[in-house]
Amino acid sequence: MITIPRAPSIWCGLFFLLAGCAANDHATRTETTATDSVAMETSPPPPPPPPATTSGVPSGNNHYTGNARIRQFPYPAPKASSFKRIPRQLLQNSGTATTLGFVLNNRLLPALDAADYEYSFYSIKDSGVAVVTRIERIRQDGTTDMANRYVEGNAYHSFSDYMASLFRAKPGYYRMIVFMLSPYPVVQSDQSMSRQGSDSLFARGADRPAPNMESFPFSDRYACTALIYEYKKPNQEDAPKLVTPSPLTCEAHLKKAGIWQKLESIR
Amino acid sequence: MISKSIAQRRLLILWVISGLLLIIIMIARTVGGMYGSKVNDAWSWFMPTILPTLSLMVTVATTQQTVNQKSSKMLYQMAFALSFFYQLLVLFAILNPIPNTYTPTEMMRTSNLWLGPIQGLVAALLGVFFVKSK
Repeated sequence: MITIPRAPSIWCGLFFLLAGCAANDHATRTETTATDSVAMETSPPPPPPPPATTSGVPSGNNHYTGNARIRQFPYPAPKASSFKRIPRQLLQNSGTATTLGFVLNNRLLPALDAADYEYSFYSIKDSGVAVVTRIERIRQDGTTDMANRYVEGNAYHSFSDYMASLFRAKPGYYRMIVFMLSPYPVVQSDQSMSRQGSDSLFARGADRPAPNMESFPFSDRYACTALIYEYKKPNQEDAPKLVTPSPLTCEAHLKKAGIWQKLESIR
Repeated sequence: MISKSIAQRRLLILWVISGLLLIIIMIARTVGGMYGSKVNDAWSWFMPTILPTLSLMVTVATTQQTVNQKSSKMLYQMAFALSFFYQLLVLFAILNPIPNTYTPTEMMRTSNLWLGPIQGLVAALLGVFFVKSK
């Protein structure tokens, strides 16, 4: 049988003992907080920013190492619908040495800008650049569906088009283009990339190439290879699938996209 | 009051015509590739939406003698209107006029939320004409 002490003094003693512990605990906590605040106050100030170069890009202590912040393009490249090496004469002035920066800024990107493409950049190992365009809706013949270029789901051009789509599946066609400027041979893996993967690839790219790469000479070792990733969504139920091989050649895709003509005209 | 045989005949005509129309639309959409790999899901949803009611009506109408029997006209009108409304909802679920929000089979599954209760009501009302006998 358990006996309960009746003397009030014992209960009072127990109460004060517990109260004392709690007070001690609170004091310790307060002390810790104060110590923390002191530690924060007395901690050394952050190091000064690295000196800027004339171009405004920090340099010196490896805060920005070019490739470090630019993601690597998957290599081998995911299986493409079609691909082609872009002729060098479309990318450089004949007979003159040029750099990757020139090829990008004076040939490739103006051609993409003229065709109203959005793009992002990746590094290829330590000396190449990949330009990835945002996936776009195209027509079956490869031309860009400008009115619904980035519209998700079905796009209707007229009421009769909508009515027809109630009874007949309306396949959706999508395309992403990757330009790989690389001294390494472009090889493709056996694994294909999903449409979501293409979206993600564009979204995770950088807004500019690594600056140190722009000064690399566009030597004979380098080549610019275009890879076309064409997707077909057969109906509303099934997921888009990579079309491989594409019914159109890579050059035909680039012509339908308006990029090839622009490369020719810039030259 | 309305003659039970007339009510039965009219309701049967409504269900047969709308049922055939819905079946034709389903076939057209299937042939048109609207359901892709989920064609079985689509038909599995469609069959129980009209066939049990329709087959019951056809069976009763062809076997039951309803000469000189009368039924409430209001009940008949309610059964007719609710049947028509139900068929419209089934048509809506099949055609999926908002394809960018739901895929066809998603729409079918979602429509079960409202089709189920309404189908129960319709069946109860039709029971007055096709099951209940004086």
